[in-house]
Amino acid sequence: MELPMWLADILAVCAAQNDDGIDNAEENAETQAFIRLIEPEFFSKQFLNFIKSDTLKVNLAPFAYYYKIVAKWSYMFNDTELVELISKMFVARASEINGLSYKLNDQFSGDNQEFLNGLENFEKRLFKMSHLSYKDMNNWIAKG
Amino acid sequence: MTELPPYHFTTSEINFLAEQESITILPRYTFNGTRLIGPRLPNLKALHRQQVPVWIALILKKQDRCNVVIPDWLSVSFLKQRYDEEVNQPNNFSELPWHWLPIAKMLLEKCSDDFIDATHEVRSTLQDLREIRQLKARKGIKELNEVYLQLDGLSLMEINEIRPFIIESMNQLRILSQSVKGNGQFTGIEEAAEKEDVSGLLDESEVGDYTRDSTRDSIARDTATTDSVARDSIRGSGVRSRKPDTSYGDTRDENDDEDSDVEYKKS
Repeated sequence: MELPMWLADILAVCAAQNDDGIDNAEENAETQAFIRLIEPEFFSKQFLNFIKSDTLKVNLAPFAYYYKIVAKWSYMFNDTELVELISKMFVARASEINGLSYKLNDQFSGDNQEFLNGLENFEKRLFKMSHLSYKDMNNWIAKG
Repeated sequence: MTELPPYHFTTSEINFLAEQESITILPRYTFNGTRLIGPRLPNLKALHRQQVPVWIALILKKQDRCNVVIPDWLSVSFLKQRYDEEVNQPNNFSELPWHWLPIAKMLLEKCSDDFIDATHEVRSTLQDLREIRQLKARKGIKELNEVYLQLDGLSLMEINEIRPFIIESMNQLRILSQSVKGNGQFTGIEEAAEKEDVSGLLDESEVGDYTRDSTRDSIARDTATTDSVARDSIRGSGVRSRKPDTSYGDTRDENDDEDSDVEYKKS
């Protein structure tokens, strides 16, 4: 069954509290948790391996809020490994974004186009902001 | 449409700040000083060197009442030397004035006849210097992490250029890493971030209020749960509430002359 993230979050936490409870071994046995979270597709081994192999080719556009979901997920499961991997990926992608946002005309050719289309929402915002800032600077230098 | 965040200066704002720097001029006429809203215009004596703010110097220059003494650092030999330093030290930025870009630009535009060296040479050396420094700064982005960034020697203009990118990225990295380390209280900031569409930098006061709120919140919630959980999350919120204050505080102080580096230190 598919649930929205917030609902799954609450249900999973409730269940965890039941586990923490002191003398309810019976209850523990029968309802271990309200729900069991199944790894979504984008946290599967396959997908993570894909990230490891080529960070820049990963298309995050279908998961509009990937980094937020990662943060929530790793909060629930305390998944340090995942966070490390995703942080690394973010740094790699961010520096690519920065490089592209600096160039004024090279963005929409071939691979670059593909990369930019595969950006997640936050990354898109980052790209735009960085681009505006560089543009302001270039205009200022050219002016006068 | 995306707009630049409020902590970002526009280039013209920085240009304005740079105009407050003082510079030496050589007046051609004698006239009495006067009291201005901001600085005092000192008594000027013909052919006696006098320090005035750049904007006054430029007005006087425009009216042909003075010559500007080009600062030492704006000579080809000095800039070449700095350029060599940049080449030899791939991990450091050489020392240049805090407003070297805007001042150099203004002087080159408005009083090119006061330069001793050929202006086209100065221009091209400045351009080289800027390019190599920018390259370095952008190379540094590959090493970004969530707690610390040191940009010694970069001038305000150069910092400002990469600021939106760096702050937003580091904030994102911080959110990611705190989701496991902070043990809990990150959710507060997460939710706010969602509402604000990751406004990145909140005003100092807002951050303060906000942390207080979330602390209260967490305490209220925790009284309902077991003691150990409560203790945990209070500790967690403590860790987090200190963090935004320090990091944002540091970036705010940047236009201070002595404090020319952006630092994100973990408290």
